Amino acid sequence: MTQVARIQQYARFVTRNGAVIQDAETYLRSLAEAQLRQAAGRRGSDAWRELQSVQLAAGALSDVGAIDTATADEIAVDLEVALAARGRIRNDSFERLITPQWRRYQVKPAPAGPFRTVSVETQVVTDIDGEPATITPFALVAAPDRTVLTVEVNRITTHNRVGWAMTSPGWYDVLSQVIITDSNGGKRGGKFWGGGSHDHVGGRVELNSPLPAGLEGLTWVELDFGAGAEPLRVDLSRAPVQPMVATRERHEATPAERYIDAATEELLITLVRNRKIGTSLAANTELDRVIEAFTATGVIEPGSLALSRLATVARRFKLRLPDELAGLADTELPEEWLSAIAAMPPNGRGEDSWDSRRFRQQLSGALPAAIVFPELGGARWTVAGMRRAGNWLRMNVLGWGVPVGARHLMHYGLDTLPEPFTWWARDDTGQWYFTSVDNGGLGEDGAEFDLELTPELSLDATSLDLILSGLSGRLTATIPLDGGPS
Amino acid sequence: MTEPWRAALPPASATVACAAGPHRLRWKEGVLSAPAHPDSEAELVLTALGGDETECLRLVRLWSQHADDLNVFTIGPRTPTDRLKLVRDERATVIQLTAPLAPRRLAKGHRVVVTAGIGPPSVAHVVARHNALRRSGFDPVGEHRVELLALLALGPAFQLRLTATVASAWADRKIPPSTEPRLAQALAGRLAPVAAGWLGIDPDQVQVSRHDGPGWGDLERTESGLRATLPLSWLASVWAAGLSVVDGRLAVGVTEVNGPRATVLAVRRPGDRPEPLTVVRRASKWTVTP
Repeated sequence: MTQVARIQQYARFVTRNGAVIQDAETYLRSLAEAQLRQAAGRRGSDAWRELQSVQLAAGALSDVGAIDTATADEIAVDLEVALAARGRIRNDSFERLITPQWRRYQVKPAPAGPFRTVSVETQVVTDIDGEPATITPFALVAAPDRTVLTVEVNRITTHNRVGWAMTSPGWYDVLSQVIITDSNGGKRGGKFWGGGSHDHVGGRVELNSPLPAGLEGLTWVELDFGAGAEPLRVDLSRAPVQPMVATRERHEATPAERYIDAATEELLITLVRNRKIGTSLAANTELDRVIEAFTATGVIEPGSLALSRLATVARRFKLRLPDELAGLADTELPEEWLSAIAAMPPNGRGEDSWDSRRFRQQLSGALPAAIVFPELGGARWTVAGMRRAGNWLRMNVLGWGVPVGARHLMHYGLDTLPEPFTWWARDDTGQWYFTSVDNGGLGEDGAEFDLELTPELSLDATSLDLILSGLSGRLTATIPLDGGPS
Repeated sequence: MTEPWRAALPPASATVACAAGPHRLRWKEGVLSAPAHPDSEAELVLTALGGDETECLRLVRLWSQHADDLNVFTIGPRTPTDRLKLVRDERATVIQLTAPLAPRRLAKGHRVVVTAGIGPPSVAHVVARHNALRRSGFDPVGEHRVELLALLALGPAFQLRLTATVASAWADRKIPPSTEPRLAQALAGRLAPVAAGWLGIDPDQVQVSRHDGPGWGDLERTESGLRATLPLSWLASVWAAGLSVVDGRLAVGVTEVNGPRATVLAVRRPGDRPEPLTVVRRASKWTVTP
């Protein structure tokens, strides 16, 4: 959607002669001035809190189209420079002044043309540096701009080797030395990007030059990992899972309402999984600044259902609410939220220990999962492989044209889903699942992360609907669960 | 006749590390000059033919180029005592700008494998991408800011004079709607601390908009603060000259400057009609004189 179109969406919220951009810009600039004054009035030189307030508001307002991204970025960057020039943020070198921390990536748009994902789902048993190991190529993703193979290597463990030194370079070399031959006789090498532990390495191999977009004109590709293993031939005649496309909007939500809903879902995940409950909404989320920005600029109505849902969730977890939400009555929560909450054990699932993750990793096996979602909010998403061990399920997700949200720039990583997208799953028994991110990365080329389900997968489930929501709509793809290990 | 804002600001000078040694840069009545380079036009021709530009003339050129730079308002001083901690060492600046960046803190819970000669893990990859973006060269906005910082590093006197220069440049222009929020921020950021001190209110409770048209504007006390409408010229003629509050009165305009004496329009309380007040500058401080 173009910026102009997005701004016009907000025309109905505007109370001052249609000046939506001006309104949000004036608000942000006033906020920046107030934060600069506040920082100047305090002892010490750490004004990151003041800076982040503006970064959050700027990011949220531009995410929902209330202000153009360049202006929002400029206001946040100007404040950072002003703070640095006054020695109010720690690193006040000129290097920071010229390229301040907070400038959005010039995210490459999702390339036009066909995308295709093909499951490989075969394991190669081999020997790396004298150690038996398995190589599991999950899926091949052929996008118009690059071809990616999602892959992992696991040491075949015969006894407890905790305490070993880090995996030797040979483990990475074997993945970077893969040769991919196509049915037209083309040969390509690749480069491995990823990480892992002493007995597991996972990530992706990016081919040196892409295969034809959508793998058109090819009938097979062969993956040769060397190390004495037989090459794997992948039949490309298999049709990819085609997601059923639904454009249902929850409550005909505006982008700002969807933004709040997505943030509420994220809050809910944190609360349900970790039980790290503070005493107030502000102690658990950075939403208070966003809500203030949205209400002050009129991009969300004070009595919005999305805000009511947030207030309802907060009350359910006994969080003190900010003034903007305190007067809102409880409202009905979406079915999926209630279902996921009800399925949680009373004390939450808690964080996984390193050992339990490692144990599951060793027990798990690859399942076919090769999904290409249609464009949503300017982004293209693919699911390239899945791993399952009993009721634990993890999917490899790759995205193109994914915007970089303010929080992700601030945190230098991807520990939550890229805004404004949310992922839900529902199995064929009717159970809903939250999703959460592991091993994430987000940059100008796109996003990549592992997606995990909460609560754990029902053992009765035989298929899973994966539901991807953006600000403009939602898409659903169905994945069979009966084709692999359980 | 010299505009009041130029006359109200006394001359200022700064020492610059020029190629031939330390030189003085001088600001007087709105003009920045490099007295050690009397034949600056000939030097400019040589520079145009490929010769090195001296630091003095570079700064004079930058001053002219940034004379209407709105970033002066967002980065520059908000009060006469608002100190910017900038180092005036151009060589050090270049070194800082091109120095490699240390990896930054990674988000909790991410795994990281540090190995040489192989692809970095995903989170480290993000950091690397981010750093690569930073190292990819001067982007126009960044270079523009560094130029501005070099001017602001000339010191507080020059910071105030540059702010006045920019305010004056915009004061008589037809303002495009897209620029209004920046000008409102420029006024609000400087009037709010003044008004807060004048009335004993929270600066966040000062609402400021730009006055356009005849007259000086308006000041109205609200339930919790102040609503002010002042022209952009207030920044040049009143604020930069240190005339904002004199004898407990808020100056809203300057009508005449004659040497160290000035006649200002000032109000004792919001809602009052402004009255002329004659003030005199003694040791950088303005006091009322009969």
